[in-house]
Amino acid sequence: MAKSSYNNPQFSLCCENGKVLLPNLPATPQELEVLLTNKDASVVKFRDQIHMYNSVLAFTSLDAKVDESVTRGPGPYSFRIQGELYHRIRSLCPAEGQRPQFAQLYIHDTKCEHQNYHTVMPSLDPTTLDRLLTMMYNINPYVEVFKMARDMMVTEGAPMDLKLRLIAS
Amino acid sequence: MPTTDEVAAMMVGDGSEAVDKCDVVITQQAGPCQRIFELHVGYMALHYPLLFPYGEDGWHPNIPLNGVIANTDLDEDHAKKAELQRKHYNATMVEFYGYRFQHRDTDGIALIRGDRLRHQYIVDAYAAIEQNCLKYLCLNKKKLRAGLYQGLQDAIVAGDNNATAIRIKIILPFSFIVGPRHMVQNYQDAMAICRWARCPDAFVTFTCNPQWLEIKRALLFGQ
Repeated sequence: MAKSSYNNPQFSLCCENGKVLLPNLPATPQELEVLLTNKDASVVKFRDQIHMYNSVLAFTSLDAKVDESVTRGPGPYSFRIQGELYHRIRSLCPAEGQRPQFAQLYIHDTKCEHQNYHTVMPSLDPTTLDRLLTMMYNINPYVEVFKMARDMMVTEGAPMDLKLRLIAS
Repeated sequence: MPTTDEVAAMMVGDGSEAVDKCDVVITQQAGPCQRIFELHVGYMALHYPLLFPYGEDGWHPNIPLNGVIANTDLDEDHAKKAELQRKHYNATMVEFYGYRFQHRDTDGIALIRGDRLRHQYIVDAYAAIEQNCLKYLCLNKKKLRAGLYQGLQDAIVAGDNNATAIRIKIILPFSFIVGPRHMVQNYQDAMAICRWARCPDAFVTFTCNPQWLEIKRALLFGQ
């Protein structure tokens, strides 16, 4: 900021003085809002484990060359990587003999039984996870897409080389 | 809020169809993992469904700035002119994330109240910005006149007659924070200040205490 001075400080980090204007984030769904703001013991536990809940529901996985020498040291948790940080997504179906992971769970979960999710991370509270899954199935456009892919795959006579293209912009 | 037809398409075929290079094509049968680039609009939404439950759009290269015409809507002449004037009409990644990190009463609360997930999101965004910046430096060596440095380097390393040892070097400009040039420049600045104002008597470090009343007052309920 060239114009900012000691006597006349200006703050432009938020929106470059109005130059950047993005659409508002829509109101958070009720189920999630309760989990994020309440003070009950069970809800506080959810916030402690929020990254685990997130990774069960996520479509992509994080991938990087992690430096293990600093991850188990004293002090706050640190995560040091070398090279690039990747977000990766797997094929629609898991490989022979492997458990479904990440986005594959949304395809695998044919009757919405949510059973697969509980086996992935047994330490999570099943009712909370069920509630979040129902929310995801109701509102998330990416879940809708994977559900669509699943429906197309199970219809008889479906081609074997079905591909799902996620549009970049 | 993106809708289903906007985020994805189903395809049948051998993959020879023309697709945007940042699009991600997921095959049905098990294959290698696909990488999602930072430039993909769903980069964050796909990884943080709890922060972006509606699959909200992330950064992409064509977000127009407020009050200007989008680059894609410009005709060829105007686009060229804009390129020449080096004006940017689209929000940069830094501007986008800077905007998103702020607390706004009109926004949903998931992103601001995400706790540790929010921390992870911030680090992720930082990595994305940094990666993008480094990639720019890598691809624009000519523009940044890195070739000039190259000759200098060769002269300094006189006597190095093994041609295979010479690799392409990318020089980080001083504007790249934590790069050696940035460090040296800061050091030189500090020395210049000392020369003008003489050596410092005390070195003051200032740490912030999260228990401060001013901070606590600004926090939301239960935060």
